[in-house]
Amino acid sequence: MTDDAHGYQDSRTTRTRWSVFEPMGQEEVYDDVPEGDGNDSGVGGSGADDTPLDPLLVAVAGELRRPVELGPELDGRVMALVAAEPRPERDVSFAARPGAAGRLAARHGPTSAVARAWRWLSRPRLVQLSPLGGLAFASGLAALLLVALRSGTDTVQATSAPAAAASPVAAAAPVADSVQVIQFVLVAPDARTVALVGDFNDWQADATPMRAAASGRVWSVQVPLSAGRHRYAFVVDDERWVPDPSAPRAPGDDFGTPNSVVTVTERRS
Amino acid sequence: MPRVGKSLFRQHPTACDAPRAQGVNLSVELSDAVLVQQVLDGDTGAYALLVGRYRERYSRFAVHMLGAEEDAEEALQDTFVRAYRALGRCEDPERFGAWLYRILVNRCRTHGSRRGRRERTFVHDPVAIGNASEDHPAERGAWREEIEHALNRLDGRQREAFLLKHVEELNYDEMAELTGVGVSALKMRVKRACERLREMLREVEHV
Repeated sequence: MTDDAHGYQDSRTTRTRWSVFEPMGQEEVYDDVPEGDGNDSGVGGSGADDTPLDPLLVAVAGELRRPVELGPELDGRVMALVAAEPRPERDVSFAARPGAAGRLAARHGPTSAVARAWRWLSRPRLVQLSPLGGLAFASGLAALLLVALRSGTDTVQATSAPAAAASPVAAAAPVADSVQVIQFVLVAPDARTVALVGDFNDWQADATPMRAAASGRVWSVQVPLSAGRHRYAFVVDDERWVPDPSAPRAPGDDFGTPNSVVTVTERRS
Repeated sequence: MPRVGKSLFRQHPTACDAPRAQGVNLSVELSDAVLVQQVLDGDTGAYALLVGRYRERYSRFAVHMLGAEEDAEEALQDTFVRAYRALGRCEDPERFGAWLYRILVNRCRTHGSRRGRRERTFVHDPVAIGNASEDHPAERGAWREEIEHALNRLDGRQREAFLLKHVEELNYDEMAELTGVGVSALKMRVKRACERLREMLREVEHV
């Protein structure tokens, strides 16, 4: 296998600081004590193990390099689990930002109390507010702005702040989003083509083709749908009409063909 | 008739995202960074492309590390799901493969230490192994079985180092980056692994 096949770039020119990244947070940490005699000096730096393998071990390595194919359902299982997960959040980490945090770290050291405090303060947090809470928060903000504007200068008043202060209710009112993007995923290992049909595309099999993953097992497409109930089905290989096995079945199937139902709710923000 | 498996649909929290999947030219191989970006933008289907891209490459390492396919599948599945959860923390999406490999190595260590390596039933026939010719399928199977048996008897850290060096063909700098282990210690592990494998397999050869 080549370095490129691993997704590696030449580590001699491009280094990734693995020590910064802690993928799982609580991975088991294996101690790196030298095994055996507890002392590997004299071996490590000598390049002793870069010597070519003897024919026996060449044969062993060659045999072990043969491809290994695990169960064909692995992709589907992974995608089913992933689909149940919340969308991954971007992490604007302390180490990745070159701004104030980086300067603090440079000045005080990455583990200093100041740097840790800034990291804690600047860590992204998810704050959920109910519509009522949002209204209260916006009202408080508007009041603060009004106080600030009254005591401030004319140039401050010329900004857009008065507009926000003038209509705090409008600014905080929940906005209904009637269109949602729905992702449809079908695991169909042997399919050549898969299309999504439904009342949103007039049941046209060529209107919404689904995209196959590299393995050809998982097919997906994203479709913006308006709020409400929608009937749909999958068309496999241009001929087989398949309802969604994980969705409710539509009552009173049209033309005797089974369909599924997805209900899109309005999102309020 | 095509087999049709489980289907899932998912409502995304963003309403303004156009259905990017339509009209995509599949002949163009999207980079890891683009796919990671799409996943972070809410396109879960793009993750299926990443899974497909790396599953086969990393299956081999997991199977050889854990010795049993079911354990390897579990470790791989665990790896992909954990990587998805932590995707926002992937510092260099262009090197998603290396980042994923790091997680896989950790998962294999964890699975290996949690369960111990499963006892496998080997048909250990030293005479047949000793006479085995790689040309015959049955004999090739016996030869492979013996190799896996020997691999199975290695210390886990030596096995990991041997596989990364001589099967996955990484250099020591890459191995150090991946495992968090120093180059000196890795060289020692590879050396010991080679000695042990040679010893065990020559015993078989001379029976």
